[in-house]
Amino acid sequence: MTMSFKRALSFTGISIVMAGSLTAMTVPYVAAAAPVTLTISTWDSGAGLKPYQEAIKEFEKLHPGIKVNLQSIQSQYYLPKVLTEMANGSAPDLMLVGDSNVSEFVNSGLLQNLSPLFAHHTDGLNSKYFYPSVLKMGNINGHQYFVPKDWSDEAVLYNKTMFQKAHVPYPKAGWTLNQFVKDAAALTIAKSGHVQQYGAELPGTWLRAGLEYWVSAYGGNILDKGGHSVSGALNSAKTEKAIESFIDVYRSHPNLSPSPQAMNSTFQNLDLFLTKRIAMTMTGPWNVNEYKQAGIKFGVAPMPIGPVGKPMTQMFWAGFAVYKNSSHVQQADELLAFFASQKWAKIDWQWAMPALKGPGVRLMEKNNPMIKEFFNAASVANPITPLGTLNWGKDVQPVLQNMIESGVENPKANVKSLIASAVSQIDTNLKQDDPQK
Amino acid sequence: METGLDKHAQLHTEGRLRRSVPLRVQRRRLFYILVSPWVFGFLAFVLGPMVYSGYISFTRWNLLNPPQFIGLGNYSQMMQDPLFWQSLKVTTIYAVVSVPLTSAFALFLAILLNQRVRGVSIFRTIFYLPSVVSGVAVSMVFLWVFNPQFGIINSMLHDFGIKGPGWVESPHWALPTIIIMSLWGVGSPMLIFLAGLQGIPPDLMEAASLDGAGVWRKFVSVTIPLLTPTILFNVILSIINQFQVFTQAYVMTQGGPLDSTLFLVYYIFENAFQYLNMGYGAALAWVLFFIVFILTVIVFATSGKWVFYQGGD
Repeated sequence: MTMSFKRALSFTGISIVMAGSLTAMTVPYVAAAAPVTLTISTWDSGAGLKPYQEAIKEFEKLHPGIKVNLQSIQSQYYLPKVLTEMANGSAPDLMLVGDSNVSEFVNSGLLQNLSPLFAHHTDGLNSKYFYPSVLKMGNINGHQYFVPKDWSDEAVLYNKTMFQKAHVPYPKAGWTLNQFVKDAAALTIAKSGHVQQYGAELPGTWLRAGLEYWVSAYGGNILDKGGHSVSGALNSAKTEKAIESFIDVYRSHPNLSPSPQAMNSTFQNLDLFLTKRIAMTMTGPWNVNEYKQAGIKFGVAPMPIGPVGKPMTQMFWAGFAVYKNSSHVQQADELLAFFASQKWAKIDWQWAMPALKGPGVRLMEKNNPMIKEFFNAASVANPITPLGTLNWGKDVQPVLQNMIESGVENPKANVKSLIASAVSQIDTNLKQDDPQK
Repeated sequence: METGLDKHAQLHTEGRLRRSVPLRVQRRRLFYILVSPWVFGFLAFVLGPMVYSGYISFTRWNLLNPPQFIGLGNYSQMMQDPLFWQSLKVTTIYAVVSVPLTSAFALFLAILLNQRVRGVSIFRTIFYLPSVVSGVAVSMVFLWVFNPQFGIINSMLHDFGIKGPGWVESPHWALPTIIIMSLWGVGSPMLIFLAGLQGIPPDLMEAASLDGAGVWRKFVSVTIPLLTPTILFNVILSIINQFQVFTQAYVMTQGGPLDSTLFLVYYIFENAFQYLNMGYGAALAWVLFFIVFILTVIVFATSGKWVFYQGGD
C-alpha cells in the first residue's frame, strides 16, 4: 500500500467521522419530560388531510403529553415505503392500510393484535359500536388487526340534466345490468366517431368496481375458497359468462364508455363526471360533496342487478393498525381508540362513511341525503376478493387487467381462450409464490 | 565569525524550508479533505448500494423478512419470464429507433442554430427550453396532445377528414408515440452539437470552398468528420438515457396498453416497488446495467474506425 493511498484512506475515514459528528450534532436533544411524539401515516393528501388535522388537534387537546405527527405518503409509494420503514424499525406508530394490502401487512408479523384491547375495552374500544360487517374486514384469521377508519360501497351516480335531455327515465332500485347498458347507449352522443358525451364510465381495469362486481352479479367467483388457485372459479360457466358480458359492453358499444386503455392513460387524472363528459359512473361516495359544490344536478341509484336477481354492491375499506415495535405502543393505542370513537365519526362523516354507528352516520344522512343510497346498499356488499389471497396485487390483478384489455382491444379474440390463458398464468404465479411451497 | 547578516540569511533559508515542506503536505491534505465528501458519497450512495443490490439479486426478499439466498434463481426465472422478454424487446426497439432519430434531429437543429441570422440566440433559447421542463409535466401535456378524442393532433386530422390513430391508447401506436415524444427533449444533445460545430475551424471550410466544394460536400467531408468526437459523446449518452426511459411509461401508460410500453426500468420498478420482489428487481437492474455497459464498450471499441480527432495521428 503506497503512502498516498494510506493518506487517502485516513482522510476518508476522518471525513466519515466528521460527517457522523455533524449529524449527531444536528439531532435535537430530547428531554425525558418532553411529550411523546407519535407518527400516523396515510396516503391521503391535500384536502383529504383536513379530517386528520382536525382529529389530531382534538386528540392533542385531550392528551397534552402526546404530540402527533401526520405523515402523508403518495399513494403509489405508500406500500413499499411503510413496509420498508417497518423492516428497518422506523415505521409510523399508527398506519392506514387499504383492503388490497391487508395480507402484506399482516404477514409481516409486525402489527399489534388488537383483539385483547377489544376484549378488555381498553381505552374505550368496543366492537359493539361498529357496523359488524365493517369491523370484520379487519379481522384476519380470528385476530383483529385493524380498526376501520371508514368504508364505502358502490352505486351509480347519474347526471339528471343529461337524462332529461335524452328523455331517459332516471334509474330506479331493481334496474338490471341490461337496462344500464341500454340507458348508457341512449345517452351516448357521438358524431362521425368523435364522442361528445359518453353514456357511462365503465370501470375498465379497476377490478373492484367493474369485473369483480360483474362476476358477483352473475353468481361467479374469481378465486377458489383457499385463495391458492383460480382454476374452477375463473373458468366456471358463470364467471365466463360474466366476463364475456363485461367485455361485450365495450365491443358492442365502442363509444358508450372510454376504453380501459383510455382510463389508464389519457383520462387517468380526469374526473369525467365532474367535467360533464359522462352521464353515469359506477363509483363510491368519495366525490359526492365535490359534485354538489360544482353545481352538478345528479342522483344516486343502486347498482344494477345481474342474472343472480338480487341487489348487491362492492365494498371498499381502510383501517388503522398499530406498529408492534413502536416505542410508544400505549400512546399509539390511545390514538387508535380516538379513531374508534364518536369524536372521529363526527369529524370524518363529511369525507367518508363512518364505521361507527350513531351520531356520525346521522349527521351524514341529515346533511347529505344522497349518501343514504350507499348506506342502504351496505347490507348487500360482496366480500372483498383481494382479501382471499396473499398475492392478489402481484399474481392475479395484472393478469386480469391484461385479459380485459386484450378482450376490448381485439374484438375477434375468443374470450374463453383469454380466460383459459389467464387461469394458467395466474395459477403458475400463485404456485410460485405459495409460502407453503 | 558569524555576522548578523549571515544569521538573517540562515533564518530566512530555514523559514523557507520549514514553509515549503508543510505547504506541499498542506495542499495534499486540502485535496483529500475536499475530495473526501465525494469519496464518502460515492462509497455510501453509489458503490455500496450497487454491491448490495448485486447481493440481493441472488436472493428472494420482500423487505420484511430477511433476504433468502437462492443463487441464480432470479436470473433463471428471468429467462422464462415472458414479461422480461417483452420489456427487453420494447426497450430495444425504443433505443434502436430513438438514439439515431434524436441524434439526427439534434444535429439538424444545431446546424440551423449555427447560422448567422438575426436573433439566433433567441431561437437557441427557445429550442433549448423544453429540456428544462420536468419530464412529468411534459408527459402530462403530451397525454392531452395525443388524446384520441379531444387532443389537438386528432382534432386537426379530423378537420382534414382523417381519422387519427389511438396514440397512447393503442397497443400499436403507444410505443411510436413515446418515440415521437422523445424528440421533445433534444435540447441537450443539440447544445453539445452546437458547441462542436462552433469548434470547427473556419479556415477549413474556406479551404473547402476554394477547392470548389458545395454545401453538401462541405457537410459530408468537413463538418461530419470533425464532429465525430461530439457524435460519439452524444451517442453514448443517448444509449444510456434511452435504455433507462421510465417517466413516460409511468405517467402516461403504466406500461400498457397490453404491455406495449413495458420498458425495462418500468418493469424493474413494478417488481421492486409494487410487488416487493426486491431480489428479482435487483437482478433485472443488473441485466440492464450489463446491456448498457456492453453497448457502451462496443461503441467505444468501434470508435477508432469512425471517430476523427483533429490533430491526432
